[in-house]
Amino acid sequence: MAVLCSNCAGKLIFNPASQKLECANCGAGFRPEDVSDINADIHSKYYDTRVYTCSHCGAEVVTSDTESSTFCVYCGNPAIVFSRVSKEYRPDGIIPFKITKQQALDKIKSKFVNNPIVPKEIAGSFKPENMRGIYVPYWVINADYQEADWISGTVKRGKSSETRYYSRSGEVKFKNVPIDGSRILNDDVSLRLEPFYLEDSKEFDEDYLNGFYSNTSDMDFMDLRESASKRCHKLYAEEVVKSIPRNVNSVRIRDSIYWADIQDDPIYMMFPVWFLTFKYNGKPYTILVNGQTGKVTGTLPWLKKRVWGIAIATFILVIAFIIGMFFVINSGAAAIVTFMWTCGVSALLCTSVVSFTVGFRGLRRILKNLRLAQSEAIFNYVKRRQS
Amino acid sequence: MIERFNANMLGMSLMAIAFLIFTGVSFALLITYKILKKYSDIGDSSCDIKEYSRTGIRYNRTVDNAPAIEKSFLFADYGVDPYAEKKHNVPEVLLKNAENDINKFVK
Repeated sequence: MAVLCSNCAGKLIFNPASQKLECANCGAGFRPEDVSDINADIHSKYYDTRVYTCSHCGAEVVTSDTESSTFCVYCGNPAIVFSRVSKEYRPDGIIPFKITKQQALDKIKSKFVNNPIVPKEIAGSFKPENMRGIYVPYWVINADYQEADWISGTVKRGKSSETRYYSRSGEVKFKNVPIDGSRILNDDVSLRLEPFYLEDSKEFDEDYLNGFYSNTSDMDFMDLRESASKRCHKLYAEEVVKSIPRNVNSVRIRDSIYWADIQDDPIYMMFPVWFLTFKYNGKPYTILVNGQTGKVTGTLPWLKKRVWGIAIATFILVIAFIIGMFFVINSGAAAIVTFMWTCGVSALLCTSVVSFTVGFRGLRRILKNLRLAQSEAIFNYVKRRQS
Repeated sequence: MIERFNANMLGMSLMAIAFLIFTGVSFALLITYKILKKYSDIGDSSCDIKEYSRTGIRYNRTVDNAPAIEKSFLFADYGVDPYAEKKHNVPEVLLKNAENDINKFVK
């Protein structure tokens, strides 16, 4: 399992900044490919890991033996206990961490600075001890894909608009699509971490895991096919609406059928992710940082009173503006008043409908992301899968 | 006459109030969404088919202004999995995970 320093027999930890295994005792650095573990068999299909189980959410966290786990990276609960030494399947490749713990933390902090709606007290939670680096299992697939869509849109005809329908079917050959291989990590969360760049990938070597946790793929082929189909559909759907003529508004896919066929050589990979877990008002939150690119994803808690204040202030300002406009316009000549009122009310009504739709959908998406960031969602996800 | 005038006025006032509330709520929703998106919801996902496919979509059917009956034809043509019969060489990890799932279910 752990590789020892050839100078002083100290434990070696992978340092993303230098991309070397460094000895905590003597400071010596070694390239992972130059270091060999006498216990490891590089031709074996397996490698040794230590498995910790969270008694709160049931998640299993896998580590090399250089670092003992102190709390669950998924739900932040400290009730995590050593479970067993396990032999896991050796992945085909790995993208080593490029972003250090401090860099990841700084990137999260930068989202917090000058942020008027996030509670100041959570700044105390942004500590290195709350950060954990995890290699998340991914399957990189090639797939043949077919989809048929029934799409609607509206076209202006004089003063009224007419709904029209568009029929589309097509096929795509997808290449190197990453699919999250863990049932614990929600697909919507892992999607937000992308992109990962495969150019940096290396042949799997467990030395890269030193100092980090790892998770192993727990999905079967049907799960992989389902996740791949959904992922490909998302990519396809964004593209297919572009084929609708430009003069068509409110384009919406009404119905679709899609089929994906994964080619025979899906590649089992480990991708680097930093997890920051903390609690606010008794609720757990997880912020993630892509360990290769440094992209931060997650939803920070917000001050409810302040957000409500902003919403109410906007409401009052808009009403005051309309009433103000009423008095300004009414001070003019009667013909102008009628004309301006007709134009003003029509324009305001149209803008309001658009604002309502965009605002309502956007808020719904943010609340969904908030539920994902609060790792109770992951907890429920695990429980649902377990049952 | 006065009653009709009053009823009209009442109707107009209610419509004006409803319009004011709807407009206020709409803009409040939009502004709140924009603020939360900027300050709280970090890291949006963006999908682009070009990242994962060199060829893009090869269309087999593109019917604009399609009649309603076209939907039945479309889904009749594409409703069956074209890859259903294909055999796969499934990686060992995925086979093992499927076995583990069955074992859990049996227990």
